[in-house]
Amino acid sequence: MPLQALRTVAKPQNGVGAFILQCKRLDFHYCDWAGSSKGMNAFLTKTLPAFAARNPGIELHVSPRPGRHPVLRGAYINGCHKAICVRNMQPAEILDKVQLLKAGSGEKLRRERRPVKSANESVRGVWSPFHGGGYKV
Amino acid sequence: MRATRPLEQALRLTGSRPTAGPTPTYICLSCRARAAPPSSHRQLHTTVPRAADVPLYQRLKESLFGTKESVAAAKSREEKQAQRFTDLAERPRTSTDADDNEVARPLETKTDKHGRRYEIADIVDPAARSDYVQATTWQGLETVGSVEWVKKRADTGDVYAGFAPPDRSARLRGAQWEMLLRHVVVEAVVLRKAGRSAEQICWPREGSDSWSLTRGALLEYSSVGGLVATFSEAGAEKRLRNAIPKKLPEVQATQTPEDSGDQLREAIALAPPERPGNATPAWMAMPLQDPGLKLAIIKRILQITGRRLPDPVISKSPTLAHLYHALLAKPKPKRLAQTPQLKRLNINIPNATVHAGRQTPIHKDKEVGRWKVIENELINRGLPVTGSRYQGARIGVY
Repeated sequence: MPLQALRTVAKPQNGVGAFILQCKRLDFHYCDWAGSSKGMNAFLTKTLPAFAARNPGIELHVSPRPGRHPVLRGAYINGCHKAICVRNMQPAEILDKVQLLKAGSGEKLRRERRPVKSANESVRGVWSPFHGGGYKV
Repeated sequence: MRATRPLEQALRLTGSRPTAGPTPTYICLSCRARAAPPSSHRQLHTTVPRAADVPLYQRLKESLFGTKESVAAAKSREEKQAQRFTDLAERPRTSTDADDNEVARPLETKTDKHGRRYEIADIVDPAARSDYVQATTWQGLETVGSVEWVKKRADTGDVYAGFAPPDRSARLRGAQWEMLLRHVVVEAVVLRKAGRSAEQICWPREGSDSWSLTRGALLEYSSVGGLVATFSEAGAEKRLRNAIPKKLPEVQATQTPEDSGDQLREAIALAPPERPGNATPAWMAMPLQDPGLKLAIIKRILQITGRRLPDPVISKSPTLAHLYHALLAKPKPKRLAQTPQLKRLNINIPNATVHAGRQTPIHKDKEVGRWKVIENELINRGLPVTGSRYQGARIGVY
């Protein structure tokens, strides 16, 4: 009898069939008085309208936080939040941070110790002491 | 050490002998130290000179119970105070005025060393007055020394009265500003022609038809003759000149907000249609090199509209046209949320929301509909909805 192939169920993966943006909301906090918010204020008046028009799927909220540094805060589908303080940054730098938040998944930043991460099983099988040529003492 | 010189001289005089050799001029260190003023003494003395004669037990006794002099002084003060109380209590409570009517005796007043007058409170003896009821609480009694008491006594000098009416210029458009400027300039030109100071246009005047008179004037500017106003109606220039007072009144009444509002309504009435573009009429090319004339025009505009121009703008306005454009310019919004860019963002882009105020956790709860449940539960349990109920808590503020 020929070898029967393993039946596997298609595993869902974001981006394979459809892509769902993980970032659902971005909050922009600025200050009317603080000098560290100068770049943020310029970003909100000049750059944000174009960004908002290009990303209709992200909810954008702009609100003042008097007496505080400017902050970007992203909310994700997994319920996590990420905040970045953009004090004393230029509008272009703030846009980079906004892109960073938009592209994120909301997962905690972890250090990857293994070189390869895969959902597939081992192709040639995992080594065990009971198979192979044996071990002579 | 100047004191050593007389010391040296004294030693020289006492030690001089006809058969002695050369006069010794050397003075030892301890003599020099004693002759030096006390401030320059460097030696450490373990015993205070004044306390050296007084034994320790006596010094302790005096520090605990006081010296004889201090005890006698305290006793004398108490006796004097008791005598003063007796004198005050024996004084009559009432006195008679010119019509022999009995009136309450006024309280005795004194002046302290700073020149402030104060009253000495009466001393009431409950045994002597049967209608006297001692208070058990402080409700209704005069309080001294509270924050309100200090604020009430402070700033009893001149009351500040603002000189500028409220700014009503926000609703004026270009043609209306031109109408207003034209009226002020015509008055100033008429006065200058009569040899009077332009400042007189700002002096208070009572009800005149100067608005209708200036409307009928024609302004023409030439680099040779300057700005000239010609009137189509005979006698209009004279009537306008007479309407402006020549003398400043003795008692200057401040202009009421209603006066400036009436003047503004008259100014903007029958304003011509808007000019296309940024074109200005030819008479606005008049230079404003005379500071008196410039100030008079700006002051009159301030009196009518309440609009103040910043000093750098005034100094950088060489002609009337510059002044006109400065008046036309809208003031910069004070908050970012009020700027036109963010207002457009809020309106045109559906996924963007701009909040004018700080967003608190209560706002977030309201967005998801949780706040009304929290508020109802807090009210049912008798708990404060926001903050705690300390004295001075702001209730109902989120």
